[in-house]
Amino acid sequence: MKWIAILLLLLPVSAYSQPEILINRLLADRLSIRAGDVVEIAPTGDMKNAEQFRVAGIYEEKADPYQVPLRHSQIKMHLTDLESLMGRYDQVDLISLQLAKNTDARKLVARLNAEAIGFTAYSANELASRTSATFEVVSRFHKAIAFITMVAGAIFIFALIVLRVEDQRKNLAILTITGISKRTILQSLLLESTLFAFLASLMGAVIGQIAAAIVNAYYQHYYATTLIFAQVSGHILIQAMSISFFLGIAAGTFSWIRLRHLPVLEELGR
Amino acid sequence: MKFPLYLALRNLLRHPGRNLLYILGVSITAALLLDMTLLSGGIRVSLQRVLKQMGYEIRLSPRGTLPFETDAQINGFSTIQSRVENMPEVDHVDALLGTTIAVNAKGQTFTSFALGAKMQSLISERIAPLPARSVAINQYLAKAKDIHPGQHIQIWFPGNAQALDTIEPQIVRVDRVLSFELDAEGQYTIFFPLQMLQELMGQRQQDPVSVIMVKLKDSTAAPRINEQLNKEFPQITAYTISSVIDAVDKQLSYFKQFAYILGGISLAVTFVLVFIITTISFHDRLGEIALLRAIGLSNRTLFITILFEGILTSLASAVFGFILGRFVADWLDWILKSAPGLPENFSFFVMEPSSFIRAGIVLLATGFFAGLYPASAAARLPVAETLREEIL
Amino acid sequence: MIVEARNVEKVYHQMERPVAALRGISLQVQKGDYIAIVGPSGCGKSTFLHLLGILDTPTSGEVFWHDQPVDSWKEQRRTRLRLEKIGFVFQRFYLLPMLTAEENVELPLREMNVPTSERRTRVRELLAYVNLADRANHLPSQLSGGEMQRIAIARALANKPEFLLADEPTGELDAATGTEVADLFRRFNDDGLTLVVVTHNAELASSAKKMLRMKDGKWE
Repeated sequence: MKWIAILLLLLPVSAYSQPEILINRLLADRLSIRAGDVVEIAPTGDMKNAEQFRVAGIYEEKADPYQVPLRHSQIKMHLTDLESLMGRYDQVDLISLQLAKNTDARKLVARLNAEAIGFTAYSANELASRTSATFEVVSRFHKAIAFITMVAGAIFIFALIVLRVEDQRKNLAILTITGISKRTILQSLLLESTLFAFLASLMGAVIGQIAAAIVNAYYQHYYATTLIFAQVSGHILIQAMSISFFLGIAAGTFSWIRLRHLPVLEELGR
Repeated sequence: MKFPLYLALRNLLRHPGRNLLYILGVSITAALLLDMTLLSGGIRVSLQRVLKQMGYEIRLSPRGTLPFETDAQINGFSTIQSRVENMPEVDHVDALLGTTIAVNAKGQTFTSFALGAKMQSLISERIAPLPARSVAINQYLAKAKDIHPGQHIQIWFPGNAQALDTIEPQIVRVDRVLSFELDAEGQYTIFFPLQMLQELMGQRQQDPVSVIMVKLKDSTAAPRINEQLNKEFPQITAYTISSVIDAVDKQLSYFKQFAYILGGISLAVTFVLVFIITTISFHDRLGEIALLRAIGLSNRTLFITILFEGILTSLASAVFGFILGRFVADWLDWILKSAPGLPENFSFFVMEPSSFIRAGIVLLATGFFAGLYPASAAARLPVAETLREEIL
Repeated sequence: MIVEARNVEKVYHQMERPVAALRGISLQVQKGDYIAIVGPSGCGKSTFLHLLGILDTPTSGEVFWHDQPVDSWKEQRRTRLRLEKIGFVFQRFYLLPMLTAEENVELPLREMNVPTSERRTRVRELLAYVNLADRANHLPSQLSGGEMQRIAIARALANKPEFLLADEPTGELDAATGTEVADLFRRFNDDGLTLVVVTHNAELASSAKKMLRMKDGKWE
């Protein structure tokens, strides 16, 4: 008996009557399925010719940006089981080739496409490029939006700094009349504008981080994914602060040009 | 109202250069707001137009899938067709069958999409049926491969992948060039009469189709008939136009979410800017405002004047912004439409008057709320104290 | 009697220290009066003028308009009174820089919803009254100090007030222009207008029918 018991223990776990499948988290949640449950799967919606399968496990999908918005339920099963279920044998959707060393992939692709029908051959690079096409479009869209917001931001910074300096007309008149040189005044204008823009960009970086965190939290929850949707990288930070820096200088210079010939007495008298 | 509006306008014209700069800045956010409003509804509107143009109220596709979402097919179309056409509300039933084929034309072998249908299903105008063993091709295929009506092409149907020289091709005559609403830009399509395609595929007996389209006598009955069809045919899912749009909208939900987020940010920035502009303008003229109160202009007049300044700033920004937004929308649409697999008539940004009106109202409301604080500050300004401080 | 201030005090809090600008002063202004209030800077003259003009409320004491106490009146009513019955002229003119002389003068008339033709007639009369009929379409930046003050005076008279208050009206003007303003005020008073003027200008003060001296918030 002892030996029979050990033999039983040694039997592989998959020795159930139903073939096994894996399902993705989305499907498991949608139908409240757990590992170990037995499900029926049919090739058509009327459930004709349905077969039973045992759920061996639930898997988490990779954070593929192309797949995330589609939110498809997915099942992984043995090829032979799928063929049997569909009644279609010896058919696949994708064949992957591991080439021998020094094989020219492009030449092989061209030859396969010229000689056979029923499939299209792609090199790995070409396939990667095709499948990421949508993602690239979205990326271009984001860049366009980023460009527009940068233009808008530049105008805002410029306008606000000019406004701020205009506010200081009287103070500038007083400085002039007390003998402070135009050079000193220009330097102080530039310094103030640049500092203002720089501090604003620092604050913007903090707000951007908070906004990115909120966006990520929201989209990750909405799509049930771990993809990062928004990120304030070091490169972006440097870019934003550099633009602010130059805008500060430009706004300060512009203001100085406008106020250079300030009618001092008039400004103080009125 | 006339007097406060007059004062507000004259005040805005006081510093034309400065105010123009502000308005330019706010215009850009107004443009973004308009574009995001367009984007949030554009997908639905665009798809609705395309689907309504085809003229069918209900579509049936294999259970759990959207039309043409997968390779799955519905077998026994003729049986389903006669059962559905027996329903008193139904005018007629059509179908489309799609598959991928290999084609050889002028010595070049390439892949094309094959679409089987009754010709009237595909395009809005009435055309004559195709002659026997004849097909139509779309304009992209005709142009790219230099194929003209009257020429013959060879076609192979994949069931199993085989070398070209082991199976006989079918030879068909190109009868005409057509354009099909749901073609993606650059996509090759060859149109077959439905039964001809089924025969060439060797599946005449199974009588498969990819999607069934139902035309009703009264379009208002669509939801009810849709529900009925879903119950009666378990192997299919029936969709009204709005449920197809809902499903597609869900798949493209990222853009809608994005539109709401960016639209919200644009609104917040507009608010802050208009708030700053009106508040600074108010602080610049404290003495003036105190004087106007002193000579008898009421709190109400000054309150409304400053409120109008906020609203007029928003209004001017809306005018410039919407012109700018129109062009930016075209640019963004061009970027997004380059995504593969989208029908060529599909747009993400659809210029609907209601979108302009919605964005305009939101902008004006933002100007109103942004002007509230400085307006109420002007109304509550302590006159004597302000006059004293201004003099000192 | 048009306006009366009875034992009024006004205390301000500057840097958390109370400053008594007025220390219990009284005045009755009768119809046809022309009173000049003089005194050193900071003695409370302008503060007192603001109380008489129903621009401010006293910390204690009362102000009466035609025997009615006004301190409890709501701001709306006080503003209406100023619009219809009281004219103000300030040291700094306070013309709206983006409006022409004509448009500045008609501001109170617009607030009263006076019809356009009537308004235009009245403005023309006022500008002629202050000898500026030919400057109607000029902006303040195109006017001299004296001209601007005369426009401000015309604006103060737009609604035919009973009572004109002027706070240092010649403060920013040269002597010759100051004389012009003094002449104008005398003419107004001769025409029946009641005036109270706060001034440092000796000529303006002496042209008044009555001169009162203030020091440290009290009559001297």
